[in-house]
Amino acid sequence: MAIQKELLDILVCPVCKQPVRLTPDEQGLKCPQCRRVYPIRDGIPTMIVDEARVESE
Amino acid sequence: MEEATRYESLRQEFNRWAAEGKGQGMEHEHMPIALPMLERMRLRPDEAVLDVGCGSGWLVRLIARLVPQGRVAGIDLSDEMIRQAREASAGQDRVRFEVGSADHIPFPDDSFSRAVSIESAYYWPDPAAGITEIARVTKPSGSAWILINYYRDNPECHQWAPLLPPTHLLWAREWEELFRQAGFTDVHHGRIPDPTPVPDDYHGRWFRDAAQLRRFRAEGALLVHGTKPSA
Repeated sequence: MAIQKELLDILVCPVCKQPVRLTPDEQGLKCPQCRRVYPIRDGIPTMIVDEARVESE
Repeated sequence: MEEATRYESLRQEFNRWAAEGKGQGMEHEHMPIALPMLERMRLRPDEAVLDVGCGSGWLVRLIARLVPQGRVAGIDLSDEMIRQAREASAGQDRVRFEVGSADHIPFPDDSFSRAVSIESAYYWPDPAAGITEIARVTKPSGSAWILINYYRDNPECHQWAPLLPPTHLLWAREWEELFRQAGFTDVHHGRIPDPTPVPDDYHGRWFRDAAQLRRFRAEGALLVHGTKPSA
């Protein structure tokens, strides 16, 4: 399920408070600063620090 | 307990509650104390409001009706609660629900004119961090309102401790102090008694008997609120 783009505009990384971006595979929201990726499950982003994985770049 | 483990166990607990339909029960159970809080808040029609620990979203939907030109967001640790909240609010473009924790709120600074939280704050693994985050996302001159039934000044709730996940049983003045440490001013607390009649044949597990439940409701819920200084 696609998540609405306008909602992404005001979701921030819970750690850095930087706006997150949809990943190319649309399976996660990535923080450009700390590179944490928050998983999207059934269309719902999980904005929980412990649930994020850190991408190498 | 490790912090990650505490979050995960809390989430599993609230996902269980959601699966059992307890999210809906909260509306019935908490409405008698929520309404007096909303009256004291005197919301204007265009406010932006955040509900921290929104469960399946009954309070968000109620507040949305009180702010017809505003918007309301809810966050909850439980993805199952948020799934139910989104389903129940489908098509309502002024409300949104996100999975998030009180101590790491996924919204920008100064997003809301009010923040509310009912029966949630004592579950937060780090209440000080939660209130600091609420202060961050509250706009200058905005205010935060926390309402809880489990606090040390009410002797009729202390028996809940072994029945709950790990919780914080704080004095009213300790909650006030957390508000002040987070930067809120004009911090106050008050009590909201629950006028719901208690049947004589109470046999639940939360109170010894009907008399204790009656005393608990007369003591009332603790309301703590504070204002973020204007910029």
